[in-house]
Amino acid sequence: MATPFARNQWYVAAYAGEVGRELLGRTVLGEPLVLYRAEQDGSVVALSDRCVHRRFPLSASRLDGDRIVCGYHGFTYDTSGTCVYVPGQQRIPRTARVAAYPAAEVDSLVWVWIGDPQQADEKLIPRAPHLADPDMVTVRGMEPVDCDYGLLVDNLLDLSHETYLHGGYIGTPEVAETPISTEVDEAAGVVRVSRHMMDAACPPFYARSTGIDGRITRLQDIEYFAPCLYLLHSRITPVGQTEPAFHTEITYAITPSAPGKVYDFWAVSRDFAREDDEVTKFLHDFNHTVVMQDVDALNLLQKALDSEPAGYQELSINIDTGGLAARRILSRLAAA
Amino acid sequence: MTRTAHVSDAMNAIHATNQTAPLTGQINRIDWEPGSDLLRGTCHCGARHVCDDPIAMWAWLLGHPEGHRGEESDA
Repeated sequence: MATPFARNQWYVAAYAGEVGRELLGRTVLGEPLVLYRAEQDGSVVALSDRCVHRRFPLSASRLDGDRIVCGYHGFTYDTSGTCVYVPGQQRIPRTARVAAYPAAEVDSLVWVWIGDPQQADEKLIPRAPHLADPDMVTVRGMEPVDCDYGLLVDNLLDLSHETYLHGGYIGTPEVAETPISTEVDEAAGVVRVSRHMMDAACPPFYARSTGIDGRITRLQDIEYFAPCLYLLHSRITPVGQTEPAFHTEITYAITPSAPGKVYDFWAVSRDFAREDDEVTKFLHDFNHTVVMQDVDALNLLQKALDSEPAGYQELSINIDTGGLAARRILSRLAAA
Repeated sequence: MTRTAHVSDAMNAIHATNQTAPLTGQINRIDWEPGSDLLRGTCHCGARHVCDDPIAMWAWLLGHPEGHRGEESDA
C-alpha cells in the first residue's frame, strides 16, 4: 500500500548549509533535482538534474558563474533552466531547457515545489523558527530510508515505539503506557498529538544532556504539518518542579524521494547547556544512533511488506489515533 | 472540574506557546481517557462520542453532522 505523493506541496530538499557553489543532487517526488546557490544574489536555484541532450546528470557537471555546463557535451543552462549554449552550432533548439522548480529558504531549510509552479505560494511553508533561532543550539543530519514515506510518518506520529525500539536511549516504559490526546485541523492539514508523562523515568538522552538524575515530568507535543514538516516540542522538568525546565525542539522533514524512498531530515534544538560542546556532540551522536535505529527498522519493515501479498491487513489501536489522521490527510492532499 | 478538563487546560497553555501556524478553528479531537481503553471524541461542532476504536472514532468525527445531534455536547 504505497502512500501517494502530494505534488502541490512544499518539501525540504536540503539544509541551507548544504547548498552552495558545489552542485548538489537530490530527488524529490521522483524528480531528480540539481541545487546550487547563485553567485549574483545568493538565492537557491533548483533545476531538473537531467541535461535535455542525453540526460546526463547536471549535478555531476560544473558551474560557470551562475550557469551549469553539462559535464558530458557542454550544454549550458542559466538559472531559469534555459539553455544558452549548445556545442558547435549557432541555433539553440527551442525545446532546449530544463525545468526550474520554485525554491525558498526558510528557517535554514531549503524548500522546493515540484507541482504546478503557479500554486507555489511561499506563505504556505510551515515554520520551524527554532532552527534559525540564535538562542537555540541545533544539531542536525539526514538519512535516506528505503521505505514508503508513509512508514516514516507512522513512526513519528506514534512515539510509543520509543519504549521498544529506542529503549535505553529515549524510550522508557511511561511513553508506551501514557494515553495520548489528538487534535486534527482537517482543512489546515495539521495533526497534533500530545503525551504528558507527569512522573517518568529520565532516559539517557535527557539525563546526560540535562544532568537530571531523578524522575521527570516529560511533555511531548507533536505538531505535524502534512506532508513534510514534523515538530516535537519536548519539555523536561524534575518531577514535582516547574524549574529548571529544559526545552528541546525535535524537527523532522519527511521528504518522499521516490516510490519506496524517503529522506529523513532530523534536527535537535535545545535552549540549555548552549555553550557546552560535549552536550552538543553527545546529542548529535546519540540522536543519530536513535535515527539509525528507526532507519534499520523501517528498511526491514518495508522489505517485509514488499513480500506480503496485496491487500494485507493491519490492526490499529489507540496509539495509532494520530497516525490514522495523518494517513487520511496525505491521501486527501495527494488527490487534490 | 474533571481530569480531562485539567489535561485540556494544560494542553491549551502549551499550545499557546508552541503553535507555529494558525488553525482554522475546525478542530476534531480525540482524548484517550486515562486509566481506560476508551476514546472520547469531540467534533468541531461540540458533539461528543465515546468508543474504543480509533478507526470508528475518526469515521464518526468525519461523518459530521450525521449522527452528531443526538450525542452529548459541550455546545
